[in-house]
Amino acid sequence: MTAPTTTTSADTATRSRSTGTRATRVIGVVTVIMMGWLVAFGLGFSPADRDQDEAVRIMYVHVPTVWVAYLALSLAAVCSAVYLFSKNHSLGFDRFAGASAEIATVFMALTLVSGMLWGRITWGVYWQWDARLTSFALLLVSTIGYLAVRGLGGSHHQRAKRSAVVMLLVVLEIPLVHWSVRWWRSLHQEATVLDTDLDPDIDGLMLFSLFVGFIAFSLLYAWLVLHRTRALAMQDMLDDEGLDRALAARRAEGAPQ
Amino acid sequence: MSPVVAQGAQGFVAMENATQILGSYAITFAVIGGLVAWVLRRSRQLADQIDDDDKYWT
Repeated sequence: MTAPTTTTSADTATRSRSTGTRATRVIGVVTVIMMGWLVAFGLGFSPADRDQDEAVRIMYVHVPTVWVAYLALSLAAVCSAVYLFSKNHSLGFDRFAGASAEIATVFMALTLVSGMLWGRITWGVYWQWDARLTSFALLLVSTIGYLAVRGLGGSHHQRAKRSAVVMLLVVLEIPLVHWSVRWWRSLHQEATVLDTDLDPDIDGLMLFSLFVGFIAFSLLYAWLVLHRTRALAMQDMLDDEGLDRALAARRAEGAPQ
Repeated sequence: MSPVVAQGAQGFVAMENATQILGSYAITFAVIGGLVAWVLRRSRQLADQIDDDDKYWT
């Protein structure tokens, strides 16, 4: 993940070919190491479960992916709120929210897939229109809708304002998803770690393996969101340049010969 | 709710439901790998068109 520097003959300005920095490179390396640990502990060193037997190993990827999805959506909502309610309406918050929502979408899809595979073992079916599964699928669709709203036309601030409002509505679904297993009868088990008494129902090597997953996926999120936020900033700059060029061309067309 | 309680390590061998278990890991890491590759490629495409002076992280 090094960043070679190139210059073109047309433009002597320096252009590093990356959104990476020393910090992101360190995060990237540590993430790869932690992912290796996760595979080793998740598939090897952690024991089988008394009830679920080997199927419990899916938990070590399933729970961290949903953790990242919740984290990413929550931070996107915080940044959206800061954009909306702060005085300077910094677009940096909007870009962070957009990058975070992109990542949340991918991790929600991964959560659904690993959950379906886990469900096939424990419930005998890949999918049930259960409260948890259905509300989570609705959250995924809502987040995709948020990304679609970001893609609509208009200025950067128009985009930021309307998408921030949508994100503040989308994030309201998270408590619904989390508490759905308590509010309605559900096939899905209740929270193992983040339950009401904050007393994890697992212990020893299983809990350690799960925390390795949490750390690995949290670091991955940090790496991804830093790169994507910077990429979105560059995208906005290029959009502005393109608009300026188009306006200049249009003015030149109308100028007297 | 089913409590998650250790039964005893069996290691990498003789895993029941290996298709679903290994499949969940394979899909997760394949998608993450694809996402990382896309993020890096897209970042490079954009970084090539922007001067370093305009990149707040450089």
